[in-house]
Amino acid sequence: MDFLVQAWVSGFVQVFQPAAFGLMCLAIVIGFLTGIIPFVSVPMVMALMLPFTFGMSPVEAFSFLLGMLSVNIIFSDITSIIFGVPGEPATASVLLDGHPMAKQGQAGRALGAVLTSSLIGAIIGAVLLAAAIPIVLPITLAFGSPEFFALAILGILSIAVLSRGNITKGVLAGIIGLLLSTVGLDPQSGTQRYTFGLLNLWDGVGLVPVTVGLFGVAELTELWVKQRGIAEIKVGKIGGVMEGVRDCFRHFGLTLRCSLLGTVIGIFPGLGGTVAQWLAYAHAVQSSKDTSRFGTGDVRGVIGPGATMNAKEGGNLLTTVAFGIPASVTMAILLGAFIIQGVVPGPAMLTTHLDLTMAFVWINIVSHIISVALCFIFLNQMVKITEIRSALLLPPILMLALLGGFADRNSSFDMVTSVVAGFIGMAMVRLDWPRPPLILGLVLGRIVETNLFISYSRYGVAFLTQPLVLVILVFGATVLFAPTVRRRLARRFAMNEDARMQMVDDDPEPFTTAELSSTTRVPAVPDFVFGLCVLVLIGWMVWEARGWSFAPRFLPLAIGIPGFVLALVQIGFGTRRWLASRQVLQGLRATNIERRRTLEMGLWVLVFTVGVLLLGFRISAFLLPLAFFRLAGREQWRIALPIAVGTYVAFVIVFARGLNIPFPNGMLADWLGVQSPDSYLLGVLYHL
Amino acid sequence: MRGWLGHWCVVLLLLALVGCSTAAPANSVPASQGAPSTGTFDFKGKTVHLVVGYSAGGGFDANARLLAPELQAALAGNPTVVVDNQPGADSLLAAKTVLTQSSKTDEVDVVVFVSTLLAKSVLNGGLDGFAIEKQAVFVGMPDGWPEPLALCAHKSTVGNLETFLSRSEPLKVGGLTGSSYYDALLRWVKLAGFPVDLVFGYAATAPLILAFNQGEIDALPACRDQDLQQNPDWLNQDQITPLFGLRGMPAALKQAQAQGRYPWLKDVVDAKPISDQLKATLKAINDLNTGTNVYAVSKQTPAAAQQALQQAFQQAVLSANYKTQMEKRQLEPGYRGPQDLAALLDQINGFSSDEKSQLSMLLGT
Repeated sequence: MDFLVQAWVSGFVQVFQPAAFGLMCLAIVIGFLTGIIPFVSVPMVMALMLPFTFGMSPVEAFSFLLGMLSVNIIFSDITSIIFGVPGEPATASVLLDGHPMAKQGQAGRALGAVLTSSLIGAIIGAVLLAAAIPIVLPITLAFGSPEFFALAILGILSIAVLSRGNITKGVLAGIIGLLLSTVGLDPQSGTQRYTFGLLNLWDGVGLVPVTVGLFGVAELTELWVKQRGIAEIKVGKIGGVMEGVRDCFRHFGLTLRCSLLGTVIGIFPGLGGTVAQWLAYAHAVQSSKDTSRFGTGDVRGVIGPGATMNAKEGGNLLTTVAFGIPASVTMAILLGAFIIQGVVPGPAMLTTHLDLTMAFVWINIVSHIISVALCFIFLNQMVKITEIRSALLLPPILMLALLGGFADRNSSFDMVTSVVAGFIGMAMVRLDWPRPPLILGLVLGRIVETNLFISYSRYGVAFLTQPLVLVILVFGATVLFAPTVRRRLARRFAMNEDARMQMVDDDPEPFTTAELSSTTRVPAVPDFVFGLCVLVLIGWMVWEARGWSFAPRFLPLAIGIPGFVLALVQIGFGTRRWLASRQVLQGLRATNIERRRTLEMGLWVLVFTVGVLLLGFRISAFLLPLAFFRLAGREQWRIALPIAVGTYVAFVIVFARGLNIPFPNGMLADWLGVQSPDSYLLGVLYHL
Repeated sequence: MRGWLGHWCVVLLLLALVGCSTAAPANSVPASQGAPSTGTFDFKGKTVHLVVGYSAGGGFDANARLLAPELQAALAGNPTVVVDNQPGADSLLAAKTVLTQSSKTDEVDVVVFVSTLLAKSVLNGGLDGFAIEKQAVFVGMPDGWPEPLALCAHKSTVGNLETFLSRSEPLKVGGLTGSSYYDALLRWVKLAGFPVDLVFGYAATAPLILAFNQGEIDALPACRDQDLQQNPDWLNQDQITPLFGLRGMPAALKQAQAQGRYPWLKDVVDAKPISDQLKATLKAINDLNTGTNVYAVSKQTPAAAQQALQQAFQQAVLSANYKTQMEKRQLEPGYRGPQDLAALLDQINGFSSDEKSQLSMLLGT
């Protein structure tokens, strides 16, 4: 134990050496400046900064890199809350309640809550890990493929929780996500599944573009329909930041539990942050007495995922250090940096070089504290963004969303994927189909399939009877479903009507509110048509899979056949509602103006996409926002022109020149031999 | 009326911008105009893109980022050399995109892809309708030194080579995604009649090693010097039984053998009788993976630029700074030129149809 304390103190001292601390502060500033950009910043900035660490000592290098990482993680949550565009797939869960809070003028409260829970999560995660170092190795070694399979199944079970109000639709969305995860080359046999012969689909459907589209593009449409700023209600001076801070302590049990959850998931390589955050969100819903406000702006839906996201970083770092297994792209870059610095990942990092590992833990804690403090200073300005009217905010955010789709793999195909996902997301919002299960299915599909086949190849079906697998499944299912079962049993055995009514008031059934809302506001015919599309899609995927060998077809059939049956059930519901709709839904449909604006926004999304494909990002970054401001927003030139120029300059300086994002020229621009004006200016400069 | 006027202003502005931008290439220097009379290609004012077929942060990306400044210094005109990532389809997407595009005025794209794509393309008559070996002008490979590796098993499962060969129950040997170098070697081991069952699906070497340490798999091909260094207990605590070398022999195992340990340890082709055809395919697999990062440009690239890139690449890879940086990262420096790649392709083309189909199967195509 002495060596642990000694290493802990030694790590602390190393972090506060002037050079290391100065570099950490510098990195936080760089991360702050680039972090506001959804999706593009973390791995890209770290890869760009990596060469600067060559001449540094290990502690200096990691102060620099981890400092940048911590501020970026925090910013992912911030962009999710303010813009409704998730900073990365993992933070989409923060968006579910955080963005509605921003719409209600409570952006400050949401940001205060997420920043505080992030900080608490990071500190708890780091301290727990430091304390648990002696037992981390045996714990990690106890979790093999069968256990990961069980954990992934647990994640899939949580789909039911995330499907609040629409269990059939939610499970179907989860099934579509799982089926989409099978697109690409089968990892066992190399069979091409649902690729249409497109190279872009060999590695599957990208999680980033689907998340950007499903949440980001769909939220932008809602913003245009409302025709206000993000905040529909006037924000106070700082929008309740301190209230958000207090919320974290008011729900300290939740913050603590989600921090623990993040720490535990972070230790196990292979599950990743996305699963951790959704599980945290599911836990926040399931452990709350009153669940009716989740999805519409409940601060607990922000606190849980926020704490988990940052708590897991310590675990991820430890896994990278101790096993050389990076849990994410950023950790892979850190792993590269370890090797450059001559730090050999391995168990020795938990024994001989423990002081260095402890220094990393301290860097994680200190950089989070500084980052959160810096964010609090600028929170006032961030919150004000939510008051800008939608016509001015939409074009730059839409360009950023398209860039988010593109920049993950520098692929125009992915950008189009994000737009398609955006249209699907718009339909899902309108028709009350929950989106989180689709993302969770997409994330978990590959984990389930890979671990299932490794487990089966190694142990046969006996892997299902391994003690730890059984414990995970039983314990997980109990934790996940016990509150629902308890509520239902309590309702059934309530002795009298008064008691029952009292209980409903205190502890409402989680699905009731949304179920009611779904039957009153969802247009029946489009809902029926969407259900039909889902049925056809699942049916086609099952039909395609029938000719493949066992390994590639197992998951599509195992998921698809029950999915097809469920889709039929949903069609049955849809038909019944369609028939009943003539009597019940008169006057409850979307107003003409809502429909027109949805259509308008859909068309603008298409125009932006086609514009970028034809003219490239750089030219489009000026022309398309300008066109939107003038044609859709009816803005005056003195407003439209500076913002359009600003968007263009930001794209050129930050993305094209600063981050070296390889923007394609655009098909029409290529054909015409057109270049972006900045290339023209550079050409002139070279002549001079 | 005023609204329509505004719309027209937008359209006119658009046209003006397009017109203004179209003028840019006319004003800029044509590809060959700035070239000095010595015959070398001048890259002044140009941007050289190293388009890596994998994500930022991986081995291919790291290699390219280390090489970029050296290449920049070695090219005439000191062009900007940047690294772009275009991951997808095991680098085939980047290769197809770069090698089939028309040449650009101010930019030169160099694609970085994995060497096994070449063999797969030759063996299958192209990949996704695209014969990479016919479209590419090779610049070279920067990582051409062979990395020795062995097949190692748990000591508790197998005591030595003899007990392994006499096993009735096959050893569970872990592999990656089914199309990697390790997987090709493992298929070869099984085809050669060694008692193994292959468990594919591990995402990378590190999870494979973790699975081995957990006892989920009995043996693994990731038994290289760097793996032995990262897992010192394997040798120090006598936890493993090295069975045979799959390509050369890791230095740490050689050293252990010199101390009297593992007397049975030899190359896999000497571990039991192996047919000549199988020996030839094993050599082809190993040759293909002696260096994995292939740098190439499109045939559309001006010939002078191709030649200048090849020369600069050689200079960059052989520079002391690059070598030092590579060694710090435990990567393998070692230059292989276009002629080495051509020889490799000739070797595969010279195979009989049986050997080709065997190699194709082993590579998982």
